[in-house]
Amino acid sequence: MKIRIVHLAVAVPAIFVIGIGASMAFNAWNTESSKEPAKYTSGAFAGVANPADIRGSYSFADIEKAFGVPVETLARAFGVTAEIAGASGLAAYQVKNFEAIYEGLSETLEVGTDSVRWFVALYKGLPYEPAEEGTGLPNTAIPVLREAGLAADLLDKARAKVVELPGLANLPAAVGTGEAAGTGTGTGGAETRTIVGKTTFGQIEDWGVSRAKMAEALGMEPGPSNAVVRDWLAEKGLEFSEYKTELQALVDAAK
Amino acid sequence: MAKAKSKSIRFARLGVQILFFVLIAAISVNHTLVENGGGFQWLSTASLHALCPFGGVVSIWQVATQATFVKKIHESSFILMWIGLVLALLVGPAFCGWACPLGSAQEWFGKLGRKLFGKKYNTFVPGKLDKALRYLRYLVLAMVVWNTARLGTLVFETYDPYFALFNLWSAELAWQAAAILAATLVLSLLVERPFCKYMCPYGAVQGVFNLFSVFRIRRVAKTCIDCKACDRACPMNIEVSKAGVVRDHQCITCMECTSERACPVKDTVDLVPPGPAKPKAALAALVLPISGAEGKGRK
Ligand code: SF4
Repeated sequence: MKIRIVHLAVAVPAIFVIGIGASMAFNAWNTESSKEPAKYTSGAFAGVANPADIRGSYSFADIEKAFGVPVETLARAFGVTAEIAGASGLAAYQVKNFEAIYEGLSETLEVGTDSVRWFVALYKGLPYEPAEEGTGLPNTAIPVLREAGLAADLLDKARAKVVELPGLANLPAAVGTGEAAGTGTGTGGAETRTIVGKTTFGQIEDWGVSRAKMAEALGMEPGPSNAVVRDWLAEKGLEFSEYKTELQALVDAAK
Repeated sequence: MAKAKSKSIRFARLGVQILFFVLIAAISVNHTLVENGGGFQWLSTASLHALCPFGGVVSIWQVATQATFVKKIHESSFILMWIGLVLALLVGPAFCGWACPLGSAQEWFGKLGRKLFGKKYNTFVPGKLDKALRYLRYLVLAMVVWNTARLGTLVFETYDPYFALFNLWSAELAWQAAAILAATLVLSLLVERPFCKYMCPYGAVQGVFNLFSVFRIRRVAKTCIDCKACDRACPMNIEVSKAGVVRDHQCITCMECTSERACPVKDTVDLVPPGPAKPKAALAALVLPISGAEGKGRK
């Protein structure tokens, strides 16, 4: 018995078709992460979807489905018009686009995925501390939050982080082109040593902070090096923002 | 014995390579179109990461220790990894020789190199250096797997020419990957499949299966006329004419050396299961009906 060229020409594509087909039949063929956010694990909100798990790939429709914030409300809060959203429409507009279209509006604040997490938490009355010091909210979000009945102290906190959007006509309609859309791995040469929502313990180690020092800052052994700090703390029912500043100070000291 | 080999045999592998290349390119373009509000619903909108079997390989540690995937990797990468492994267990790294679009792109650039440099093509790297460099890809593999496990991020994306090839238009393209892709394609004009030979971490994984795949390339010394046509045809510079059985870690199961392609003698170089060469009559009885296009002579 020998395998001929024509056999392989049939068998190679066939093995792929059969393998993929079988996995589809068993519902195992997933090419995207699930858009079901993690839930709070403890406290009064245990079992409720946690906005901390909103990712750049979430569309407005995904957020509406998971958190019950209407697409139109999100669009209004973040200044996204049908023109900006383009042919795919507002519902399919992805959160990761903000980092590109709102880039450079403020020297200190940034409107991005973390802004959406914060907005959703405020709108739904859920606990969430922005993961980054520079997390801002567009000025268009303030009236939406006021109308939603947000408490005055929280509204003030939001106001302190407002980023003025330019005239909507000046915003680029195209997304995913030109500037980085914030989906890189953060492993390139121009890496900034800033702890953000997707930073792993391994990256912090790589920036010169030993695990012993991290343990001191955390008051416990840090997670495995490939674990995302925010997710690891969330699993333990701890707030990322509480530990971030101290970890960042260690990173800055190690520079 | 000498006879022009069938055209369908000559183009069978090329056809499969084009199929995979076009499919991956189309899906990658569709992914960008969908992100920009266009695209086709009938075509997959998966990202390139979701369609890369190597993504499964680098995620093994994280899946085993944390039951989560490395960011941007999904179940599909794992399934493709298993498909690649099954294929490699059966016939060796056929994924590299038949399906990998980056391998195909290098091969197509190589055809131009062959036109430019004739017989000198693919002989520029001195033997000893070439042999040593071929172990580099295992080092690349170890570094990528180690750092992915350590950092929990897709570290190879920044350097991956395969990702660059289908993301030239994307904001996710890293300049390092673009530079490695450009270097790979330029070097392909001098050396056949330079990235596969020296750098590819997935090629390293696949290559190991050459040592124990069920089917492997076998040369029958008794009928071999020692013309070395197989050696000249091999893109990976393997000396098939000196081997009884090709267990070289660099073979890509392209079958260019076989009696259906380069070898002018029938039933002398073939992809066969273990065991001694079978007598012709027994072989004929085993041949499947679709193998009617058997090559019988010189190219
Ligand atoms: S020509 Fe033969 S030995 Fe060389 S890579 Fe192809 S199948 Fe392997």
